[in-house]
Amino acid sequence: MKTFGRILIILTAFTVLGGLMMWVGNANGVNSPSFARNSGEAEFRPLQGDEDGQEGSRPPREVGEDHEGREGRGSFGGRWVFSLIKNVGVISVLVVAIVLPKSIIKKKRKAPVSPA
Amino acid sequence: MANEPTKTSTPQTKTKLVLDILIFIVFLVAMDPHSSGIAIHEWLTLASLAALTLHLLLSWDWIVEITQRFFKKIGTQTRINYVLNWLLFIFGTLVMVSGILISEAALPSLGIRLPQGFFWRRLHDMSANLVLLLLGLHTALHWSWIVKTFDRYIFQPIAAKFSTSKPKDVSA
Repeated sequence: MKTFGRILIILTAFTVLGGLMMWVGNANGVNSPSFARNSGEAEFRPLQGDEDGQEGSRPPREVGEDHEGREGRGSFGGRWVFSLIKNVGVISVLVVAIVLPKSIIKKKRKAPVSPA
Repeated sequence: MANEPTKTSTPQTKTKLVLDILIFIVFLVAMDPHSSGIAIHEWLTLASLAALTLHLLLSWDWIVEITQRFFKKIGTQTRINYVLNWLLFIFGTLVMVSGILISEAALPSLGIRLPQGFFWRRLHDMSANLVLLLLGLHTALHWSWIVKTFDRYIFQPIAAKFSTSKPKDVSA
């Protein structure tokens, strides 16, 4: 029962936060087609008018094309390995940047003070 | 992963370790949707919501304790850690919500179709990159716990298996 209550608290926090983000996003009109025009950004929309007449919708996907349409940028394995190295690299750099100075300071504090 | 009052029992620490490794692998796979495919990307991240909830449940005592003591006397690192965890939760939620709003496989397969938005797509990419940085900081702040737990539950048992020394014969 206690665990169930805690799960409810976590999910409620997630829902409230998510709802707030959606409300802020939609209330400011940032998701409307005119938002991209006003901010000077190129809007993502099909070059030719689509049949439904929906603004801002994506063009139909080609067979074999991935969801971003970036086919042919390299093999599946190579791309995945590159992405893996990049992400693990970012995390490793941050870990080294924080852990290394901390351990140096700790060692300096532990080092016995030489008598004068 | 709590880095201060870690009075967790052995099975709980083991569960935490396994869960954290799982979350880390899922995160790495999810960070590259071009390779995994959009359907795997979406279903895996939606399923990881359960793992993240369990991760929070395992650190519940620490969260409650630091929330109560936040404006009282606590260590600087604990305070930074607490704020960072909240940022991770907020931006993690943002990644999830924006991901749900631009869903191409999971929601349509459930019969839910939402209007695609340029803003949410950009926000999804930006917040995912920010979560990567926050995860790096989160890992760095818990590094000693990670090293200790890996040593205790992974390296030491492996070393013990390959150890050539035989146990002492006490029967004589």
